[in-house]
Amino acid sequence: MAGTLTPMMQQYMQMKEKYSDSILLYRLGDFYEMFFDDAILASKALDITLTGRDCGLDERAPMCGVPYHSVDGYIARLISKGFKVSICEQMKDPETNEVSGREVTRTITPGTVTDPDMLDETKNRYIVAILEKDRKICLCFADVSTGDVIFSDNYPSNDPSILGELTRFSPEEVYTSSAIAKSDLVYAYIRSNSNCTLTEVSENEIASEEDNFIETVRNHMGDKYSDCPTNNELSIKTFGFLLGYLYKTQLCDLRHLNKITITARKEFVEIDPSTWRNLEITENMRTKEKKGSLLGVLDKTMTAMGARRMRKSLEKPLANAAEIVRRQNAVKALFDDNKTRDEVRRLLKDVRDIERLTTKIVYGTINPRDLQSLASSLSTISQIKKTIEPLGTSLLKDIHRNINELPEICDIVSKAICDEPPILIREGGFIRDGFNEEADRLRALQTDAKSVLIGIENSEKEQTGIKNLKIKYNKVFGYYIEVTNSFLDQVPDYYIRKQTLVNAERFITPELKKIEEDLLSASDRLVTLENELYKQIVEFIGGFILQIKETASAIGFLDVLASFAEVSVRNGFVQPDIDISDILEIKNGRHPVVESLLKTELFVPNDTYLNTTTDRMAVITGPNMAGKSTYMRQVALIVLMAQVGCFVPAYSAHIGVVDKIFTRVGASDDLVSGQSTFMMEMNEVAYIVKNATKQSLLIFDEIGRGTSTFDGMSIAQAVLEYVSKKIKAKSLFATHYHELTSLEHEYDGIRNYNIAAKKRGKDIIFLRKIVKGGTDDSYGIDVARLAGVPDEIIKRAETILSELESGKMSENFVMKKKEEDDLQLSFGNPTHDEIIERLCNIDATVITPVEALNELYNLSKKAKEST
Amino acid sequence: MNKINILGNEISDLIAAGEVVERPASVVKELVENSIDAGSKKITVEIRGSGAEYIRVTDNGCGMSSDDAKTAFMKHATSKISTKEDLYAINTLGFRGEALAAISAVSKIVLKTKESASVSGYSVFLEGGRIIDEGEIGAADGTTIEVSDLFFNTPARLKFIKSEQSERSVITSLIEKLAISNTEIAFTYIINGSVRFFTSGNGSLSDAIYSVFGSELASDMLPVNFEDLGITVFGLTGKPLANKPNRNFQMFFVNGRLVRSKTLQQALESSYKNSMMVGRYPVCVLFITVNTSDIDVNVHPSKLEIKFSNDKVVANTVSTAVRSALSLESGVYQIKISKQEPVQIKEPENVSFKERIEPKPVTNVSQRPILNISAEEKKEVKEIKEVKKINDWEITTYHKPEKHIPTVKRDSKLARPVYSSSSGTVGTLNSNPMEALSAIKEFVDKNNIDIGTEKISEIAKVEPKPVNESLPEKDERPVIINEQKIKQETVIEEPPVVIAQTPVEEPEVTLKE
Repeated sequence: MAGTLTPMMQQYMQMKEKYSDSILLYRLGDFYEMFFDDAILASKALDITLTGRDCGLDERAPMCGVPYHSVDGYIARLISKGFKVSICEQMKDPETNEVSGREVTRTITPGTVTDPDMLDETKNRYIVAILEKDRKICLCFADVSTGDVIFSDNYPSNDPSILGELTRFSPEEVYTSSAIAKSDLVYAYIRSNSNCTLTEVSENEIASEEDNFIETVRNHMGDKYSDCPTNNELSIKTFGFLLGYLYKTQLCDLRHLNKITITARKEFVEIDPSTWRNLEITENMRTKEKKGSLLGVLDKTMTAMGARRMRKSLEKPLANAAEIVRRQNAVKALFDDNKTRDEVRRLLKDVRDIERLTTKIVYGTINPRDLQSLASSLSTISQIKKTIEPLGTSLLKDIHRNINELPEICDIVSKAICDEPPILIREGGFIRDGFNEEADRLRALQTDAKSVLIGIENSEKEQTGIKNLKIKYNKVFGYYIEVTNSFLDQVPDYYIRKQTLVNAERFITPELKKIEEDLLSASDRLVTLENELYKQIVEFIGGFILQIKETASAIGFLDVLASFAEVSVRNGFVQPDIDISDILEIKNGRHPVVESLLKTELFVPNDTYLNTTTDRMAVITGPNMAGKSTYMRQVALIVLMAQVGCFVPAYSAHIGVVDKIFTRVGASDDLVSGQSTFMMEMNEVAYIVKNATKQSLLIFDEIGRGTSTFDGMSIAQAVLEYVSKKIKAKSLFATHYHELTSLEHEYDGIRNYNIAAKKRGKDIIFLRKIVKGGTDDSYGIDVARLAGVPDEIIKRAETILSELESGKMSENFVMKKKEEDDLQLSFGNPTHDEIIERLCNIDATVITPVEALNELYNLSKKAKEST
Repeated sequence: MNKINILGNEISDLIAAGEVVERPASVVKELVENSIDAGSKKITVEIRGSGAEYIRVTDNGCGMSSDDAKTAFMKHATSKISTKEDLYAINTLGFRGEALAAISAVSKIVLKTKESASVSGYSVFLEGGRIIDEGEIGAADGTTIEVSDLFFNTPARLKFIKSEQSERSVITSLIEKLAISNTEIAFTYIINGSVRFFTSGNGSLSDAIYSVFGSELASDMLPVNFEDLGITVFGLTGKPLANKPNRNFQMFFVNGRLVRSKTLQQALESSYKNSMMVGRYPVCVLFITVNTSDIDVNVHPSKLEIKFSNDKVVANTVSTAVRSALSLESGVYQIKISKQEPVQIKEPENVSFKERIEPKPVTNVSQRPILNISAEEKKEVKEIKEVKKINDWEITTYHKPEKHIPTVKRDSKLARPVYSSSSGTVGTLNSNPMEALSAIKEFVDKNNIDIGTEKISEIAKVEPKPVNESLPEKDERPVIINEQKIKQETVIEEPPVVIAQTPVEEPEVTLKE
């Protein structure tokens, strides 16, 4: 016989239905409880005991709970595991202070965390909403903790840039329709980012709500709607879609979501996800840490806002020369003036994360200590404003103008909040004396009360003659008069006896009780009043949200510029010449990250010269490990740094702005996604070739690895030719096929370089210098010897090499392009005899499988040709 | 029985080395001077422990060829001079041809160097003066020398090295001086892995001082710029209030070379004679150029000591230069208080500092001693400034190298006594009167100058006033300073005014910002 649920459980089930996709924390007294499936999930995730509770049904309902005062930590853990958490509180009737129903006050989702303790202060945390219409997709990113909102362009539905954008922002939550979530690109992103949570909505729901989206945005932005940087319908709808979700979960007014920007494609340099990884811009490939990446070298910011802004700046290098120069001038001003820069950075150290504090204001979770750090940060900021005043460049003047000193906030905080306030507002005790009359009165009452009590004690002592009469307090009886047994006879009539102890008795008097009432109610009233005042103060400050955010943004940007200047001084960077020509000329360029990791040596610098006419492509040959990859990466990084507005590690640099940077570097199997090395490589090459323009910068590192020699070389050469003839972008092409060096004479625009190395006996000395000309030696065997491969193998390899080189196989590897698409491999004229001779030379006992296969392939080919 | 032996090369090397290589700091000095002579624009010095453990000097100068890399360590090998005449016309820092040989004799050295013309660099490993390995390497242009295990083969010398910290501070002091005297080179100084300081190499002396000594000291220094009789003195000298308990912050460079010279030291300190307490020393960074024929640098192997052929002239020039700087402050408003009554002065002109401590009752203006400068000094001081006498007031105006010339206005009708300073300046005023006040107060307190019963606040007030306006009888005191841009040749039009205080009244003062 199935029982029926108790009323409380019924209420729970009703609530749970509404919040079926999140874990519901149901407040019961001092605990937050979870039931049924939630309980099972949570007890596993949080490692807490699973118990049960009677719910009216036959079986007990599984249950687990956490105490309310330590719930934040548990929420954080659930969030980090990708769950959503809804908090259901007991609502109190303000008049009677009794429980009057339950409501969900907030749903915390991984993409909408605002508690600074759960967040990395150097990174933004995004949620993205994706909407599709008419085969166009729009992405809308929002960081609820800082109030940033970013629209992307409308991409065609299968444009790989979508994946690029998703990778770049790395949102923790994706909010979209089920259909879109299954599409290749979005699916690929979700798979690759294990931290990402997917919140799906059915298409029908979207379709029915669609008309309201624009309305939602209008309501949200109010009269600022006209300031919206776009009137693209799809973008606005996507924003409305996202807003709906945010309002539903956050349940507050979200007015801090007002900084809307668009990532216009043309404005920034496009960097695809694998280039991003390959160049180790924000994390190094091996350990995924910031150290050993470009960010690690450039980020010497002093504030959390600066750190976030620095990351964003590196993610979005500018593609507009004038903008770049404007930024550069600001960096130069800070570079030249050591005193001002040092002073600014010293002051910045004392500025707290006011951007995330504004969110706390909006959510009403800000505490008195936060207010104080807001006020002190603002006063430090006004000192910063004065310090940068003499700097003249236009960008710094803009920053100066955007810093709002907001003395009103500092004022009210210093007037209202006492010096060392508690963190919680629950117990009061944070309003300063002199701020509010009533509060002062009540407080005086409290302190007075003590003297009043002493007065009563003394007067009672006098009146009754009981010398050791005492007034004490306990929670059971409140205030009472304690008289020891020896004086009991002197106790007057109006004492009401309350408690008998071994040596004494305790009494109360009406007078005492009245004082007690006053006192206790005074404390209560004081606490209520303080809370009320606090709310008013926070509301007042809330009116300045826009200005605070503007200031925070300006300070963050100033921090970034100062960091660029500081790093440039410390590491000896120079100001590059930026223009819109096609020239890329670097003298004595260095790799900024590798240089910073060298302890006792100087980095060996190298020159670069590329344009889109006579020196389009640099074909670089030379031994492995000699520094080809480092060289090519340094060129890309120098261009990136220049276009971010920073100075560059070189003796001088002349940089014509590029629109995109592509790299095809490194061989890595992506076992997870089931692609082999070669497949990945071809993916990347295909992507590059399809998307590169004449203004791009391309870097190819050893194309053609991961497959047979002939295939590889063929593909390498074909790609080289295509890029050089059709795309004409500036490119660096490192290859281990030194046969390709002959192409310099075949086509214009191709120049050979090699990385110098010298043999010294059996050792190789890497000189690390790029010099003109091709190279014949491959040093592969030497590198193997250096690595410690046993002598026997080395000797054998040398033998085989000399055979191959002497043409015993008679293969002439010079590829000449005779007709349009013909690749001609010219062999010698093998005869049956040769085949047999070769067969005789094979020693089946020492030959390795790979070599055997190679031999077999060659022989069979010969055999086929000769017939 | 023969008792005298001719010492083998090894031993004589060790002995000679001892003279040049006294301690890790000497090694650092030699190496860095070589780097400077090589035309480097960036020099990094790294030490570990006391320096005996590890010293590295990396530069981006001209580097050496592979042959030079080996010969450099031979005795009497130098690229700096080659003939007898060269010896008397030395304008490089290193020249004796001994340093590298000496250093290599008592340590383990790794040298890596590359000339810009060649593709590959060269490296040489030496131990105790002998080459144990060498070869081509990949390297950046310039030279890196790593000296480890100093005095490994002379344990006695090793024991002599003082504590790690004191050795380190000697080296630090040396690098600081080198960085400040070569402001066009970017120095980076690393101790045990962390960067102690770095200069930008942008040529600015005040930037270098700022990077090395910090913002406080840098802002308390005054420019010095003086020339006389073929000797030039320029640089920065500290305000009297920027004094230190030792002479570590005095740097003298003669013809670009850091030197120690009692002559110069005394010349400097004489200029501060009456404005500095006993036991405290002034700070300065002074560059003195003289004819190369008038100095002898070959006095001591470490090349620190120097002899002038014209001691007195040099000393005079230097002290004049410093004194004029102390009264001249560029870019800052100046308060100058002086009343000259050559007729009525009773006190001897050369009242020493100590005597001035006794409080004297202020009764009559005329009895107050004022500029307590010796006749000789006065003369010299006068050479730089214009002195006018109006009524019973001596008004001095200063020519400044920059465009600002401070003027001090005054109404000559008011005869008020003054208080004087022994060196002619009280202190410096910024545009901020509050600072002026405290500067004056500080000076007065420090030097125990008697100003009667007046408050300091009486002295200063900021408010622009034209000259001809008459002042109120009450205490609203006249203006202090107005900045006027006047061409260097012309003298100030209005008579500069002196701020005085009244002996009688004690009126209020309001300070306006």
